[in-house]
Amino acid sequence: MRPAARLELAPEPPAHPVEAHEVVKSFGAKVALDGVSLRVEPGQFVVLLGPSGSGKTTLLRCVAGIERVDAGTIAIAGRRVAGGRLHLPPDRRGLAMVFQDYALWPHMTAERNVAYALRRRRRGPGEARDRARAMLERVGLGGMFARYPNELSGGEQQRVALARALVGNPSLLLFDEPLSNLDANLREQLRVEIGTLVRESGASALYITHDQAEAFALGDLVGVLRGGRLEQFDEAEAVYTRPATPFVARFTGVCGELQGRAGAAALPGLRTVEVLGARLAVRPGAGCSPGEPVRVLARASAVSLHPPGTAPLVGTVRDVAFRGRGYDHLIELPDGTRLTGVHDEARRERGAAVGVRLAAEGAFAFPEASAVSAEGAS
Amino acid sequence: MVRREHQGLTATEAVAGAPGRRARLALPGLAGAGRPLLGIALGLLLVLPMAFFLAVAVSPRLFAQGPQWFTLSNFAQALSGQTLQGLVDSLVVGVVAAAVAVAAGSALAWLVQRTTLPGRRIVPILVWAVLLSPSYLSALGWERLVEPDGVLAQMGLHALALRHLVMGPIGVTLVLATRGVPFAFLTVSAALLGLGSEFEEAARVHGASRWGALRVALPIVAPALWSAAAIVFAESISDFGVASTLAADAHFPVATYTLFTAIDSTPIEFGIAAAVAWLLVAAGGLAIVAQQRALRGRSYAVLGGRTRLAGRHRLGPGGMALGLAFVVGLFLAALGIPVLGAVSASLLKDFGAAYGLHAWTLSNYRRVFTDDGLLGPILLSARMAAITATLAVVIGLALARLLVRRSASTLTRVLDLALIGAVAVPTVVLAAGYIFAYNLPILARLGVSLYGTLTLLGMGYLAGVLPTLSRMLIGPVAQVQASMVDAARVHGAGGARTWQSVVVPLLARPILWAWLFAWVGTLLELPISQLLYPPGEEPLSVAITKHLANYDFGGGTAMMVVSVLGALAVVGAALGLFRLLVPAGWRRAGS
Repeated sequence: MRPAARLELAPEPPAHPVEAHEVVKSFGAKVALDGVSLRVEPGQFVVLLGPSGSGKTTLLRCVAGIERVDAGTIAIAGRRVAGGRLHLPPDRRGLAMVFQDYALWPHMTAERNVAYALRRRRRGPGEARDRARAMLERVGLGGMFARYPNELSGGEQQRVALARALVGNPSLLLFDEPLSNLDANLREQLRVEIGTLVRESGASALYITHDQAEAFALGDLVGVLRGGRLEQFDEAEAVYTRPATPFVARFTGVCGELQGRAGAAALPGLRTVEVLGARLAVRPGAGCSPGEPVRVLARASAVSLHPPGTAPLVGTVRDVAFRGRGYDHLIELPDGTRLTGVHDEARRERGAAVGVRLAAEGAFAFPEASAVSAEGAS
Repeated sequence: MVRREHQGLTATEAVAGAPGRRARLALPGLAGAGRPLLGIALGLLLVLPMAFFLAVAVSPRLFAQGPQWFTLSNFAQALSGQTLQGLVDSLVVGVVAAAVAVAAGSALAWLVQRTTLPGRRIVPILVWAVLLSPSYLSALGWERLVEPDGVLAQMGLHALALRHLVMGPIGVTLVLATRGVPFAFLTVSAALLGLGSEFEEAARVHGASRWGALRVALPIVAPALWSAAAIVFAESISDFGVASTLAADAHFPVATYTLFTAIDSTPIEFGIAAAVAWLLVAAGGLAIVAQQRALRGRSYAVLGGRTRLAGRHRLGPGGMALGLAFVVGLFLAALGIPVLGAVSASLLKDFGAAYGLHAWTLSNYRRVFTDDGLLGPILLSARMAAITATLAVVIGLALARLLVRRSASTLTRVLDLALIGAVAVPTVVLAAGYIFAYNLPILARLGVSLYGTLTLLGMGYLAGVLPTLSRMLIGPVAQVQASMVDAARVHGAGGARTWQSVVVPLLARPILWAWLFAWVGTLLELPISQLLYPPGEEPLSVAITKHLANYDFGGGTAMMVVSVLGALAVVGAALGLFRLLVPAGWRRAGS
């Protein structure tokens, strides 16, 4: 980002809390939201993560007022905006939004697109233009004021959309997968800019994505949605290190799943599990009783390779790929279970036997039945 | 009529092409009362007149047209004698015209899209000129040229063989085929554009010759060819312009004209006319169904961002000469000769006078601008067309908006069916339905006397143009992504301001085109005018055909020329003003 004209980004009025309570929304027979409740504190950045069809976009559109809720309530700044017969239209909710497809109006220049959002602030045309220009400079688009959307690249269009959302100093910002149409490099760059600008602005933000890396990088809090229900809503670190359900664990990345039987409690917060004749310490999920069959879901970062005979498990290298900083291995265990993306700085050749160790903080045991039932959706 | 082309391409493409969430347009508008009102309007304009008229074919008693509650005797009569001949003629002419038009239109599309033919850029303009000019003008132009006292005869050229050729089945078929070429051209062009080069390249890479590659590509565009054939067939059998001029003068009966004579002569035979209407609607409906099926497995599925534009085939001198001869010949037949016939006839003094320099005159044009009998109809039609076009655009937008909604209610489905059904109905059948339905004694008892008024004529025009127009607008309306509107609402614009600042600018160009399309179509419209005009208030097309029938060839053809030039001037002025007056961004949207 270029240094730009000074622009006051503090929201007026100050950042709003948002509260959704038991929100239900259906489209015909399909239930998109099935009783979702969450709260965004003033100035907090909340990311909703989920696969397509999980209801995250619907929830965002309900908060924006584009969709009408069937049941439950939504309140912004303590004032109810949806629920019962009440439905405050989007233009009266005092928020701003960045759309997945940018939603820039093709008949307006970049400057006019941005200035549009200032009209409700009833500023004079001169002041609106100055603010729109300053905001465009702030997002690195100085000198492109007069361009039409189709004269801008995808990344530039998204910056205009970002400027339009920020220029009115809204108290609540909504983001609908704003980076999903961009290539990887640009995505990373814009993610950083969004994080910086939103935090600078002090507004509350609700951001949805299906990319877990994006979610963890941006969110103070991360909610994982599945089939219209919120499976977990917690700090980013907690979602990663203590996934509440097999679905959350899988959606935030596992490298393999091992079958075993639950044993006794080990260290505080851990439990032993017998897997392929070895006793491993893992983090237990709800309902893991001793003697019951369990499924152990392992993060790639928790799996390490060792010389054969020096680790509890043995496996065979089936494939190896050079990744620059080291090598990713595909390891097959004696029962046919495969662990993918197992990183090691040293290269192990295909067919070689290796010892496999599993770190407890990246291995989560769930009762076999719940792990299987969650499989379909992950 | 261009209704089927839009029904086939624009609507289907637009709706099928809009993915997932974007297809659901959330245009603000139509409050609760709007939808039932729309339903009532369509019911009165389209559904009831058609339903009453078609019902009288099987149940004359229902409308006090005969003793039976149910009978098939009207169909028996329709399928005998002159009316049967008319039906058979229509079907044969339809099939041959479709075959000729698809062959010529495909060749034209290939020449324009895939070769280096000089002048290929003006072909689409000529195609649109053919598409927008009504068929009776083409037919009359040809007639004026070859008639016993026509322009050629005036010049001392008594081309008897040509006269017999034109004034008969072959002439009727050829005029209809040339009018079908634009449909085939547009459909096949779209398929060729979407085809890209990769299929042919893949075939060539894997060992196919140039001919082999063509054999690979042909099945991919086959749905477009079938679709084009179905459209031309349906257009040809429902045509009234050629039927009531060239075919009637050549004593070559076709179905639309036998239907017209059944209600235009005494005793009025509504039952038989309705039976003929049933058979025409069935044949047209079958063609539409065939077209929809052809499009379902359509080649357009290959349209996508990855498609690479195919290269152009470089024509050799021989190929170029052949191609040019084909294109020139085609447009000479479709446009040049009719225009020549009309213009030359309008400039001749008196038919029957000796040919020579002194035979040329502008007096016919002077008469057009001074004689109320000639100027009046032009002004009346221009006014009626402006009212019709404005109402049609407003209602068409509301309909299009309703039809692109994802959550279809029963009412939406009924509206959709009524509009698609109306597409299969020839305009002359619609007009006949109006005569019948709005002449029923029950309306008089209810105090509604619309029959023989300009209001009913206007309603007929509206009903005639609305199905096509709403289909034309579905594409652009569906393309206004829901997020455009959502973004305006989220950033503080209310419903009205969203319309004014986002929706209208985005749709300005399609709205203007739709208005002009409806205006030109109504200005020169024949079948509805012919059947519904109030006594003493003749619309343009009726006045033209009347003057010609009364041997005022100069006056009639001068009216033709003035009205066509006037229409072109209005279209040009409207487009010019659009360029000059609207903000730059508006013109950019959708371009």
